[in-house]
Amino acid sequence: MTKPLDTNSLLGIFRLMRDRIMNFTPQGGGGTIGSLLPGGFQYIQAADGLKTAHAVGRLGFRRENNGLRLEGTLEVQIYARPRSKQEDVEHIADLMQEALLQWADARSGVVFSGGDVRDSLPIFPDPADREVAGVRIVFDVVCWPYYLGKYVES
Amino acid sequence: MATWKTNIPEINRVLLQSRGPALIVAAQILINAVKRGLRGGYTSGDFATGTSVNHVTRTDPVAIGDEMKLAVGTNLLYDLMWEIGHHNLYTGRYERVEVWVPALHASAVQMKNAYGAYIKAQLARIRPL
Repeated sequence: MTKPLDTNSLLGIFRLMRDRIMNFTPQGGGGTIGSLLPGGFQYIQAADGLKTAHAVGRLGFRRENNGLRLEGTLEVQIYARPRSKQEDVEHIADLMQEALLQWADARSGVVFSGGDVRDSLPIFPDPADREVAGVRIVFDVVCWPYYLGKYVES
Repeated sequence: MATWKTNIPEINRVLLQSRGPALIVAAQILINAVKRGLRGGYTSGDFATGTSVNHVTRTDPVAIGDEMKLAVGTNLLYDLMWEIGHHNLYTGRYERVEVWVPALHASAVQMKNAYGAYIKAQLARIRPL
């Protein structure tokens, strides 16, 4: 591995996957996923008081294979308000699954995604905002990142 | 003339019968860890009523194919919303306080050890040939 680009940090891996998702245009045309998420795709924490459709993502890994291989998940939660936007949120979730379908990136280290687990979120009780519609997808991710692999480069 | 003896059938029987109770032993470790995490509530603790703690539960072990499975969980949506995050009406913020998954990670080794110790104890009760 000789290209210290995206996988030179854990955050870099997240940005790589977020860019893939946000810039994805589905087969048959239409806007990018990014155009459907005016509130953006944030890391770990959504912005306070956000009212427009947005996504929150988080990576979680364990290291294997002599510590060089990361195996874990990208958890994504997509939100919109009011609850009548549930179908829009489901559509965005569909597109995200399409974006990562059999996706792999080998420009920097290797990152790829296999399956996922998807759930439409129920109406949560007080003190949650009942008018927020949400979908949660947990994508399987495997990565051989540069930030670990560089230590075994010959 | 030597006679071949084996107690493999007995070992198999004990292994199969022990999986369920061993899972329960392991699950109890997780249940205790989750309850400890929930005890102080999700925020200041001023609103903790004990409801979340009292709703931590488990299923019975169930055989599915060759596997024996058991689930630990809750029927409270309230716990789920804090675990995976929600938009909070009162604070106006996205709030998330994880208790269940960290408890699972912290307890994993102890759970595996307890499972193995139970199985080993049951196997030790088999009379030698």
